[in-house]
Amino acid sequence: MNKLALSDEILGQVEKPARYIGREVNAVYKDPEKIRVRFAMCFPDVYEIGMSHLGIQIIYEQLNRKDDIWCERVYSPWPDLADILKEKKIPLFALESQDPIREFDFLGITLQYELCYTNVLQVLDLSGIPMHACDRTEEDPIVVGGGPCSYNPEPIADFFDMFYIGESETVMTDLTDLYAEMKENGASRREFLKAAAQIPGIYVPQFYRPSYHEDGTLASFEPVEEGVPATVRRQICMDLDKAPYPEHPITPYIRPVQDRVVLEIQRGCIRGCRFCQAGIVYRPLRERSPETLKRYAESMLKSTGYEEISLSSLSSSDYRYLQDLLTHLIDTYQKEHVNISLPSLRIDNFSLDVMNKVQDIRKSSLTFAPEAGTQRLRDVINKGLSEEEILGGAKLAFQGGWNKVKLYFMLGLPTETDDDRRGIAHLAQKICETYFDEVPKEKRNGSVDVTVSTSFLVPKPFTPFQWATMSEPSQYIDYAHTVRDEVRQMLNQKRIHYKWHEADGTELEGLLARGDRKVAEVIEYAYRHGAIFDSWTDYFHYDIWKEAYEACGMDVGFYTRRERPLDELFPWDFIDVAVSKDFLRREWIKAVGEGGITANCRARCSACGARAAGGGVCFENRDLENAAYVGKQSLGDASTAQEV
Amino acid sequence: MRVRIRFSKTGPIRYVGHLDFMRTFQKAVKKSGLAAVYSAGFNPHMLISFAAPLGVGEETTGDYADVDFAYRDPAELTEHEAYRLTHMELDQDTLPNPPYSEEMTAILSAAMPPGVTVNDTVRVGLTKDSKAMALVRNASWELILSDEAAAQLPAEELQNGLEAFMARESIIVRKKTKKSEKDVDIRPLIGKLALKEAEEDGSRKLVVCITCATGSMENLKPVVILQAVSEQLELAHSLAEGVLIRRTEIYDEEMRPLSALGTRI
Repeated sequence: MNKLALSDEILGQVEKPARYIGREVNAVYKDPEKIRVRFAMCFPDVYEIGMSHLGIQIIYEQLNRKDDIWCERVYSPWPDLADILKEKKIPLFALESQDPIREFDFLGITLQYELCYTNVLQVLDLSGIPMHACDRTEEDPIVVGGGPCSYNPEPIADFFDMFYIGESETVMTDLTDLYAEMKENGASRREFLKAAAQIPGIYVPQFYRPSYHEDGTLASFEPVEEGVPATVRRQICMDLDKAPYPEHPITPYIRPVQDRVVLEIQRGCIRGCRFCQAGIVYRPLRERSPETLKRYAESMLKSTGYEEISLSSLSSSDYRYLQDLLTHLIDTYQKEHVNISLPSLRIDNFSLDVMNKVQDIRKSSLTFAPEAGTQRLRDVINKGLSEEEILGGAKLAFQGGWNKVKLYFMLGLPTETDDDRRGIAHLAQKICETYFDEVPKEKRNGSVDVTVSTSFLVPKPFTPFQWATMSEPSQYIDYAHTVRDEVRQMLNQKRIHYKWHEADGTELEGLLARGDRKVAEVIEYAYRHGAIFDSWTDYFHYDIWKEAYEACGMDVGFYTRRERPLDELFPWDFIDVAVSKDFLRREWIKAVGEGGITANCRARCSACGARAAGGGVCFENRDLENAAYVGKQSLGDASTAQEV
Repeated sequence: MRVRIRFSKTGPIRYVGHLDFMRTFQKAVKKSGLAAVYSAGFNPHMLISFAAPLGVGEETTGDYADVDFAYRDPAELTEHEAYRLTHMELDQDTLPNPPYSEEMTAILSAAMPPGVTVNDTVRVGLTKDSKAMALVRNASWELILSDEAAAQLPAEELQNGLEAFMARESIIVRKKTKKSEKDVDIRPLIGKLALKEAEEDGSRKLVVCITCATGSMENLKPVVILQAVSEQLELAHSLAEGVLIRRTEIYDEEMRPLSALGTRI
């Protein structure tokens, strides 16, 4: 257990050597002699980012519960070590056993954001695994991708043996069991891939061929191997209470971004914001019971020694047992000096009361995400938040003693005009005015402080905005400048701080998000010419990518700025995420055409298709009626749910 | 009650830097379930302090951390200590009795991460000047030479070299600070310099044993001594190349180990 892949000399010269030694509290060690399947789980970014990811800890727990599987971890080495590994030809290794990745049976890579793709190639490269799946031999691990970006795997399809579409709690161990059995029976790599492609949710890119129209759009996408399904269906875990959860999470030595116990209270979201991929691809909303969560909180705090616990979900205010859970956590753990950190909640009397109890008002700020500056545009994106609600929340917060407010917006939204952009400044100004109106001079503790942040919309697959066009890169900065200039016109401009994201990464992200298999060449070129850690501002060099576009004859505008017809076949359409393309199209037409907002799932079902999954919010309080419904319909067919 | 924890930290965890190690140690104390005291105020934190930081990559078999626990202090409190207790809003009469030293040592040790062992726990005074950090004056070290460094000369020659080194009246080395460089005589800061052969990780190694000044008053890194010895012997490669540094004990002004300044519970 004391073996290290790196020499003392190397560990002595790299930054933060503790990134590479493993052996953290709760890391799992097994005897490799007794293991049938060795699985290396990779987050292709630096250790501190990767160790903050709950999904990997869930998979780690799930696989390591099985005696015959050993799941270990691997992260992107920081550039200082990557250079040394290359120069000294030291293969990339897993943290636990410190064994080379190439000796593993599986290399699982989670794809959380598009800008990690060059890091994926580096992981393969440093491991000595051929970059292209078609060049791999019986000696190479099966490289499997998963996570949000696998909902359009096509730009990186060439680099993966398979993608796992959906939640790990469902068929992950079916996959590893199948592998163990076939490996012991002497099956070849190809035979295994063929068999794996039959498991629902497993997509093996080499068994599918796209064909293109003359204009470059997709003409067809078909399996070329017999018995391989034409549609790959997202796998959904319907009972989260029974799913594996990391009750003894690995506790890193060096401070991760997420340095606390994380309780995933629910998965999915009822809101249906039209830009949000997570809001669609995790449907239907499924809750964990407060009893389960209370038990997890206890065992996770006990097994780690953390002094902070955070609730995680896409919209915590929609969790029906929030009050019960928070009251319990505060009553039980506050006296034990455990902080409770709350993700952005809707601001109301209850949440302010809770925050009052758990946070230091002087230091904390309240965050609102109106996403758009005018009501018209907020309706376009289906953000169910009115100006009255925002100002009402601010008023409550100011009366409660807060004086710092953060506001998040997006720029480059469909139908957006300069009026909408200027509206951002006006909203910030109204929040300042609310402060001066509501807090009498003698009660003010310093002045009000409003921070406005904007990012640029990147349309994502499986959202109503998958038909949206992006702007020219130069226009994005103009948008931000419009906001900046308007902020300067405001009466309380000194109280408003405006920050905007750089625009360079936006175009690239847009290309990678809605790209097809032709994009792979660009990614490989960029990697081979030095692109790495593209999500890190300090390391992102757009020049390399522009050179790659040039060299590969890539017309980026085709993927980002081209208007997509409503009936276009998209590269990701072969995936069935449970929400139908018809629903997304209806939402898109509503957004940019007739207008109007769509109710949240609890208020009214909009027949998105997710109901066919057979559980979650679609069946709340309607259990009997729905049981009858499911009985009548074919369960897996998303299209039938449209008729409801 | 303030408890002085004597611990060792060996193996790969030596690559965890001081700040990260402190956070890890604190988590372990929390995990142990022992009743640590938290500071008052807006940002309550455990009252925990370390005797002396270790460099990244260095091991220890005798380091110390002082932690305040909410247990009844078995010792007679001085006026100042009683005042401090009141200030922390603790009432000596209502606090539970502490576990015995052996028990506390075992509980803490079980909560530590791989590579860290707690060897002893003793009760120490609550005053500022009885804190480990304030008492540190000297430390003893073992510097395990790499095979390449040791192969440069026969062990006897090295032995003689060390003796000659210690026989010098002054040893001037150039010391770099953040702002400037200056010459320092390190000879008065060295108490002991000896050579031994020892079994390390299954093979015989040459080990230089050093006792030298450590702490906030005077501080000498043992590797500086190794560097100076290498220069005196005119070696092609410094003895410090590939060396494993291990601290074995921390002492006060009168060369008493810091654990000897407390009482076992």
